[in-house]
Amino acid sequence: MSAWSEHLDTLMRERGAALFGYAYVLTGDRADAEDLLQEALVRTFRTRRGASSLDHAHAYVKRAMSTAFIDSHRRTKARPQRADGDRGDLTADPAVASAPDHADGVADRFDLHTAILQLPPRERACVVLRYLDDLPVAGVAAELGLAVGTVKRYLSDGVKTLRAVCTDIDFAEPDTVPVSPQGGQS
Amino acid sequence: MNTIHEALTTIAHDGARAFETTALAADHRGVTRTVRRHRTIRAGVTSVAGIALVGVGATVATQWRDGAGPAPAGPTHTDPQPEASAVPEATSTTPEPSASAAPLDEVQVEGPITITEGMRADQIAAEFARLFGVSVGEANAAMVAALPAEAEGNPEGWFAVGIWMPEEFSVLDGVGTYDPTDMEPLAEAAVARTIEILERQGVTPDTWQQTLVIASIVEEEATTYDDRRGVTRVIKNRLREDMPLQLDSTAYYYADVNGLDPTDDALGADNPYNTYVYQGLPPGPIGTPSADAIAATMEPLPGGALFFVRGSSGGALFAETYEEHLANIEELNAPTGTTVQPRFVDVEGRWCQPEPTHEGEACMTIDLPDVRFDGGIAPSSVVPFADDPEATVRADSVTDEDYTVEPDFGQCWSFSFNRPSYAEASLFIYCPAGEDAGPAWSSQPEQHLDVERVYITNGPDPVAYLRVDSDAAGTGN
Repeated sequence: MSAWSEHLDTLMRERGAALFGYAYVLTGDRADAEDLLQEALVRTFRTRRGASSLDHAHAYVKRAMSTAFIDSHRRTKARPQRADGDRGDLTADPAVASAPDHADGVADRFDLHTAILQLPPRERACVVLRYLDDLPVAGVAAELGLAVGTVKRYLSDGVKTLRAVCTDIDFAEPDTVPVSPQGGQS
Repeated sequence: MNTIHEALTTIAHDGARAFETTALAADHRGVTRTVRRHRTIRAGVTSVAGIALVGVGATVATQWRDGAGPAPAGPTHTDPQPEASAVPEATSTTPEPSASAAPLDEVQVEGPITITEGMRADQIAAEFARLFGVSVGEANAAMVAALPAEAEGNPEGWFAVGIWMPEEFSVLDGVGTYDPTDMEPLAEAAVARTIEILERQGVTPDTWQQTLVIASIVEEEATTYDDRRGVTRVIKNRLREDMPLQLDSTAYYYADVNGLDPTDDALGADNPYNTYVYQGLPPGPIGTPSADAIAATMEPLPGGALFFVRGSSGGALFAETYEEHLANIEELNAPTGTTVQPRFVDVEGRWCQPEPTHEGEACMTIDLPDVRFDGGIAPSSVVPFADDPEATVRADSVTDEDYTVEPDFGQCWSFSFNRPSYAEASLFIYCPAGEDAGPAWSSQPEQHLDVERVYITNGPDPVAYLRVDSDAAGTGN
């Protein structure tokens, strides 16, 4: 087996679920998340720059998902969009809805996720990179190939929308919070 | 109250738990296939005609790298039973075999046949045998069957440098080897490439074999195009003067193929490949010549040189008399700094080859993310770095002004392309000053990290090409 396919196999075995979860945050739909992850995997592994470690590959794929997510929406503007009110898997996902061990937070998360899914794709990608990956604004800009000022505008607009819907979520800037036990590996 | 980070993390975890219910979790071979297809056809996408190598005949020649570090010339191969494998594990990231290891019937064939410059027919036969799951004898028979009459049954030198694989779909039989019925078409394609190169150089069939013999020698004896032209001249002059060729490479070839100890004994051994003992050319090629070596064979330097000596860094010095030759040897033995490999010269910001190649003047302009070739290096006017995710994004978003590709995104850039006169896909890597191309590209520690570099290569250990002011060319450290 060549190195890239071994990397791919290892990545899918050890990080597949995490990557899928990330795609799910962006898309809110299992089938869409699967498509997005597949496209990002292809984008990552078709290049010859070998990912030198699992973490690298993980980061590459996440990055590719962010950009592919924006791209796919750019390309499919002409395609039929999901009808308003159809929340994809969110309303009919037993794997999530029946999870008993954190019933308290479920409603919040649905609200937040639903609200996030209402955001335009770019705002959504910016919010996810900023608040899930805890990237600094400049990092979000670099990941998505956007100007810093543009990212700030998207974040500002996006958070404003989310705040209005999700009153019990703390939107404090993550900079002041110890963000990640792994040291912020994105 | 949850922070938004916590809330998003929980959503991601919820999503992750659904992963195991997806088809992708059960089987990502579709992704593997798509990636392989991308990696296979991309060489054609940036080629001269855009579609040149895609789907032509039974094979697709493609630039192919497995990202492994110190890999041998051939692709790495994972045996389904590790304890039975003599192939050392080439990648350190390979996970330990575990309960989730692929069952035997899911083992896929990996890796095309890689024929490198100078590779011998017995080594190529071993590659065929391994990947098609046949004996070396059967592989050799298939190779011989693919030869034209001019080869007189000797496969040496006739299987062109390149990366060869059967049509992509037959790769996926899932039995661990290629379909053996693909072997002969593949062998024929590699031979056809050699004949194509010979014909392009205007070699007539009656001198095909002789040309390959000389080209295989200059492949071994010299590295730059002009040195190869010079070695060709020496060979031709010596043949005309009835001087023995006195080339170590031919004697060593015999020793290698016959498993002898390639020491001084080889130079005294009595066999037709010992050009110290026997006059004239050896009876056959001594390895696989590159297209460059074949071209050099058809374009010998003028002059009466009868001697040459090669420095440890590759450059050759030629002489017409033995006295000059001795002086050259002395000069090469004098301690000097390490010679920098062939380099580009800075001509108004462009990267130009210091001397015309047989393809003519060659310059390129690197204006990230585009590279423009002005001369013989490659024919395309503009080649984007299509391999980079950023460049992919860019291609998809040319109408979007928000989207920019940073010329310097802190890493090396790369793309693959086809050189027109070689029909071989090559890899092009550009590294800004200070950026390390990394172990995925080179098993050797990189030199000259402090300056911007270009690598143009088919091989696993690319040589750094540097750009210098034209008046500084010729010195190095």
